[in-house]
Amino acid sequence: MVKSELAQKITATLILISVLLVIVVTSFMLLITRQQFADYIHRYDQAILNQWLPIINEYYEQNGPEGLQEYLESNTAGNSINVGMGKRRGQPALAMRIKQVQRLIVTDMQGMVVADSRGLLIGKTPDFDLSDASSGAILTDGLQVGTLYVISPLGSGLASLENDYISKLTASAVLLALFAALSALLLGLILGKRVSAPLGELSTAIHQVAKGKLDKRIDLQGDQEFIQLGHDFNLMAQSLEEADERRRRLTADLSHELRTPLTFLRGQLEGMQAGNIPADNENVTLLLDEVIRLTRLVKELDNLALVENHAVSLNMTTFPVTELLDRLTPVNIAMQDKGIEFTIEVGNDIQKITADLDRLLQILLNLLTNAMQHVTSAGFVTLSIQRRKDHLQFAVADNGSGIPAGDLPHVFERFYRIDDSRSRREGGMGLGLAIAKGYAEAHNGKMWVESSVGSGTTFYFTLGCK
Amino acid sequence: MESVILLAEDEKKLRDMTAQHLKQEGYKVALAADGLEALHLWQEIKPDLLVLDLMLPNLSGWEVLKRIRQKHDTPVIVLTARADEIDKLLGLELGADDYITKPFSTRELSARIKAVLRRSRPNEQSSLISFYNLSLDPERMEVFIGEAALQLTATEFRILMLLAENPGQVFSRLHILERVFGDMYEGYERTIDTHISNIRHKIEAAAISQVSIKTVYGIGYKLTAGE
Repeated sequence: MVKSELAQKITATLILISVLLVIVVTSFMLLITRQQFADYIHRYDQAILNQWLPIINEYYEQNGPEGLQEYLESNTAGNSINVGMGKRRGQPALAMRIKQVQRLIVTDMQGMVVADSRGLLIGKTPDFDLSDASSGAILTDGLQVGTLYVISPLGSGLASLENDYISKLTASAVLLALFAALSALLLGLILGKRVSAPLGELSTAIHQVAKGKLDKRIDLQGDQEFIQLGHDFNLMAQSLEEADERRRRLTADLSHELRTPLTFLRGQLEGMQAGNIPADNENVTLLLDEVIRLTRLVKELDNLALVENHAVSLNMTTFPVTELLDRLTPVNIAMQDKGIEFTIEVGNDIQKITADLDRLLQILLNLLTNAMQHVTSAGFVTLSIQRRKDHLQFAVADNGSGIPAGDLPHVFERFYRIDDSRSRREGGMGLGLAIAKGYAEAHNGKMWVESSVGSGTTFYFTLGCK
Repeated sequence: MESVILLAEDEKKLRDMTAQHLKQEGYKVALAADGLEALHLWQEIKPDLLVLDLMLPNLSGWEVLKRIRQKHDTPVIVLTARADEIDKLLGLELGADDYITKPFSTRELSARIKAVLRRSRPNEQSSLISFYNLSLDPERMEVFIGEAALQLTATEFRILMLLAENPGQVFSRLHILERVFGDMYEGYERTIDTHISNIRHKIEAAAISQVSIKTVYGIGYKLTAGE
């Protein structure tokens, strides 16, 4: 299940990170420790070297390598026998002695050992690597004649100290790692629950919505992101619920729209069959009218489906404005007939329009028809077409009764009628504005409405310029 | 010579009704119930015109149209059921000569057939429509009362032609609106009155007419002989 897996992953990651961190820090500390120890030894050796180098140099200058071995041995602490020898040779006893733990080795330029404070390597080449030992050049008249090496007395002693230190460090690192892992486990479990609990709740809610329980709302607790996620889920559920509600209403409205004409057709046809209504030209014409209306309804629904599926494909052409206005002639006549003052204002800079002419015409017809139905005689309806920055803006304004603020957000919904008592014939089917808006949007445009009760309504729409 | 029309439509009811109607209009009609049959029949009888439903079994109307167009420019009128098919049809420019959407009027279908056939035979004498001393030339959009020509607008011409093609037949305002302006003008039935009144004035002013447009009260208009 998702829930435990996520928590497990978080916990595992935390443990991994903490243990890795302990390992990295410990390794780093070990490295530093080794370096520090090496550095310390080197500095110690260097100090001894600095003590002995001038003495050896001086000896070399006076005697050369001859007798150096004896000289060194005689000055080694605890070699009392040899002290006399040194004296015998007339060499001054040194103020300090070579400590027993220290080892001084002098080689000539060929790498041959000429003196060794332990007396082991005389006349040989060293059988161990001297390059790590601290060394100084022995100079006579500015020329190197040999090399003095100091072998660390600290080497072995400190090495064991270092090993001791390192093993202690490792042990505490293991302990630390264990502790860190344990804390990570705890933290991971807590954090995992914090994450998986809201997710689990969300998952349950989604399943409920999927099963059709569209009124499900959730209130996620916890971090900001989860609260936001909860809001988003609610928003989605709400819009699903509304869409579902619209679908139900559409079905209901649709059957209502069909019921009236079908009843009329049936009644008329049955009357003709029974001989009560003469099946003459006139009566058949009335039946035909009803069929034409039904046909129109089917086509409107078809268009609505296109709009709602965002599947409107446009047949774009460029045509003179006059062609569009010509086709509005029936509107002109109807307005005159009703005593409505209908004016058309077209911006001077607009000669041609690029659009799907039939659909643009449909938008205008729907808006103008709507306006015409809402103004009383002696009212006015104005159509204006203006060029804006990168699009054309159309406006259909009337001085009719206006739309109450509560109805404004719904005017573009299908089958929405502000005045339900308005006769369906007169008010149309309530699909016109929904379709008009969809057509405008298919043209990369927008449609909106401004209205105030008592002073009139203006519908605006834009066409994106291609 | 009577024209041969191949009608490809899978719904039997619609097929029989449409065929019946076309026969009465004086056409010879061949019937196909699916796309393959339509294609075979087309090759066999080489009809003057094909009425083609897009949603056909076995081979879709789209495919039939495409294959026919590869070989020949037989006039084709397409029957469609959905608005998005019209969009597709216009977009693809498959070469249909006209289209008509279901539900359709058989009368309108035969008017479209007539128009398409006229266009496909430019050499033939254009068929004048005449009723008593009224005659209309659909090609040139000319109208005569006797010898006198009437100056009608395009809309007026279309209205008069609709009435003259079916003299005596009552047309409701809605019906005229649908046929003359297309189906988008519902609610503008009254504008027909204005056009009819203009036509009447022009007829009266032109010459002694043997025909007149009668108002059928509460219903619509019809073209009749006599005053």
